[in-house]
Amino acid sequence: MVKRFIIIMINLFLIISLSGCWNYRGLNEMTIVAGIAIDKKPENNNYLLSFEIVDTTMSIKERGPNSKIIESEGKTLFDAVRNAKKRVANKLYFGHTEIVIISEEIARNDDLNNIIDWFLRDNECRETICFVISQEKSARDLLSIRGLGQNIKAIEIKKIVVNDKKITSSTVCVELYNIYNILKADGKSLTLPAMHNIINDGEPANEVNGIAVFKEKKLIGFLTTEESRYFLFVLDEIKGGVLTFSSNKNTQFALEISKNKTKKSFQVKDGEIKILIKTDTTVYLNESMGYSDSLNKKQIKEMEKIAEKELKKNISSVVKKVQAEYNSDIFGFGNMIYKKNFKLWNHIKDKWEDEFMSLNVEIQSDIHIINTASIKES
Amino acid sequence: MFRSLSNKKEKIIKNKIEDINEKMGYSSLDSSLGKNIDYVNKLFKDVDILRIKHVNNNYQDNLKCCIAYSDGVVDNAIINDNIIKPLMLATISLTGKDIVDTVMNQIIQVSGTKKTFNVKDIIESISYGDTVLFIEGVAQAIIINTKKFSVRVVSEPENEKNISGPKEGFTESLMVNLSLIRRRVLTSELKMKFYILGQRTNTKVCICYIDGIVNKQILSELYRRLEKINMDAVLDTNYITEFIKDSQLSPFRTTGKTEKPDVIVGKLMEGRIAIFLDGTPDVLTIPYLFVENFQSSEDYYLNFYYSSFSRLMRILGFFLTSAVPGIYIAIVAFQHEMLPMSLFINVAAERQSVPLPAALEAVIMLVIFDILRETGIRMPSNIGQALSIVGALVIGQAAVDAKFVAAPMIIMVALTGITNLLVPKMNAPVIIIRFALLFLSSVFGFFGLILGISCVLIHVINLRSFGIPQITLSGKLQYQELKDIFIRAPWWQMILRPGLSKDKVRIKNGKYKNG
Repeated sequence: MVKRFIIIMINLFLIISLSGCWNYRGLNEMTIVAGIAIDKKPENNNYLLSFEIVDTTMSIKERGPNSKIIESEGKTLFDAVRNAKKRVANKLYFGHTEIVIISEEIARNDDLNNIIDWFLRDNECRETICFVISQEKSARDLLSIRGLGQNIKAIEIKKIVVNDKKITSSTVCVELYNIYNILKADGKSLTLPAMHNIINDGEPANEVNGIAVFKEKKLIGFLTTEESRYFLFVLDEIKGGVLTFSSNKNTQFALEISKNKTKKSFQVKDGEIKILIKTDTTVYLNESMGYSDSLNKKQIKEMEKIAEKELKKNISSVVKKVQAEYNSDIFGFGNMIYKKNFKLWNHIKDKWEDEFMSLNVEIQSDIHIINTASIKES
Repeated sequence: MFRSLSNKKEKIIKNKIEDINEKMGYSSLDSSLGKNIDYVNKLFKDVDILRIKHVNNNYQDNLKCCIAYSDGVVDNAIINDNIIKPLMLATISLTGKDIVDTVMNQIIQVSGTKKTFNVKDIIESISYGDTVLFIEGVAQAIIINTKKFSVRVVSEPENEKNISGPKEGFTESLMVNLSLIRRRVLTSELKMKFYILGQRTNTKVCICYIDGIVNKQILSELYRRLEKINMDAVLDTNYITEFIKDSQLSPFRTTGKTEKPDVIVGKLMEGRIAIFLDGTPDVLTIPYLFVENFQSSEDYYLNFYYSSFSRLMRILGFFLTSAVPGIYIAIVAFQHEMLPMSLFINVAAERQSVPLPAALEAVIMLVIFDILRETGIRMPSNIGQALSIVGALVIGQAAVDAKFVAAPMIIMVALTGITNLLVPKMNAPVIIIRFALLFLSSVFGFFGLILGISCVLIHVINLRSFGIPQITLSGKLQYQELKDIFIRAPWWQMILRPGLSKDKVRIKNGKYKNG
């Protein structure tokens, strides 16, 4: 009995001392932050943070949840976060923060490490927060407009970015932990989704606008949405999207990507590194303009040929553009060598920048049209 | 010679009974009729329903008798036609014969007769509706079965209703109850042993089992535990339960209880022992396994797909009714990250304007729900409507509209209450577990919740019922034994009985032909 009592007491002690962060914090004692926009004040070089907070004071029964913007300023990010508390009743809560928007200016001039550091260290922030580069004047501009769908901008932006991959493949969503991994990786450069504002039906809205290319923790340039798609082909990240080709002036056809497998490899010949990219894509024929309604096998074969040629050309041009303009290894060619041939990598890693610029990249494309939604001749 | 031997035996018995009588403070019977009657009158002093009637034979002066019985519990027709009339009109010569045997065997026309020296027997018999016959010149009495009391008719039990299958339920009369069992099991293997409990009430208990199937160790253990009961009154089987239960402080049941004869027969056939008690329709079954909390008689009468599903629902219901308030508190007060964004916003908005912290709110709402439930059981049935209006509208809708409680809390309490009804056999443990988990999770969050659930599991796994573990987790667990736990396999699949019985093979064919 005594033994039992002692065991129970030890257990109770352990419960209290080992259970970590278990503060009771009611849902009404927190200000829920859905999204954060990071800008810099030009006058004093302070960080200017805009938090989109969920407005839970209004009745959500009729119109759904609403949001408000809270601004704060500080020398560092955390300083700014704490300063925000001066304006709101409850402590900010970052457990459900969906998105962080960084202005182009900060991304171009600051070390990205400085920005993500607080998010990595903070215990509330998830490591799955998405980072977005704003192409507007400030990052805040993305948050402050009224969106098309959700009342809470941050949720809408996150959904636009995350769901993009499956449907349009025009950008890439990189989560916080991956940003850190890529920044620390050898022979790989970071890309983040880029967004801008457009005017839709007379009102401003957000739109994905390709990919922001980083070179060593700093933004160096952008890829358009079209280019992003071919970039994703190289990364083997493509899950959907539409490829549009034309065989001549009058005919066009659209292929929906159903499945894609990209194999990357490299060869070393006479001290020259040659990268091989082989894409194997299964597509549906979804639209054909300028063709007769019913397609025969010969025409489909012809289409496949055209598509393969075009795809190869487009991928190649994206690779060339990145090599020439940005010289940043966003495709992870260096990382591939690092993983497969460490000796070789050690040999070339110091001059990889020059090496990448003059890299010989060979591309092979394979396209199979498996479904033509066959319209039959009556 | 034979006669003298039996006389000797009778003498020994008589001596013994005199001893007993003396011990109990009774004096023994006298051969004088007048003295015996006086004695009975003295014993039943101030008991005004006692009736004493002198009966003399019309033809023989030496047959002078007297009957004593309690009014209201006897069948007057039997007394008139089969006792008084034959005694008065008997013409059999009594000379040279044993007068008691002759009266018992040749005059009285009642099936149940018994002669006795024992005063205690006489008192019990008169109380229980038997008629006691005293004869002049004999220091014995004859107990004649003339019982007749009003008994509630066999009807469907209110608490255990089912759609299909037998609908009979036990009544308060032991004999009626036993008859319901008896006529379902037509074998002499069905044993029914009587046992008396309660020093004052002298309540009859019947221990029922099937000889070929029951585990004799459990049976002797049961007798050992029954011996220890020294209560002076036993009114319901729960009195016995609390004495003979294994973990006596555990809220979990370790003995079964039912009002349905078909359930009892089913349990007997699985090697269990049934304990009937006179005066209550609830019958105990032992041993009791944990799964029986989730089993219902209807599982076996309905399609096995359907009953398997409903059994899984009951197990889920047990989990929900005990853990839902705890989980809710752990989420809204500690691990907010568990909720998806949109749900999180909705719950947060609801919680924004209510005054009390979520944990306190949960405790209050659960207590209010339990008050409503208890009221529902106790109140007269014609004010039920008023209660449901108060319960549903005032406590539910109005409280939310007035921002006293958050709407999600009402949903949680409703879910808790409804799932509670799925496992009526677990009322006692569920209420304790629910509040304990609620407390733990409002102090430690999910950590406390998991800790509490672990404690409950450890306790349940340690539970035993008459030496049989309530949950079998050891390596000897057989595939066969799983066929009636989470799901109910079709009958032709359940070849073996549960592990507690002696004769394990239920369907004697194929692989298990020779046991």
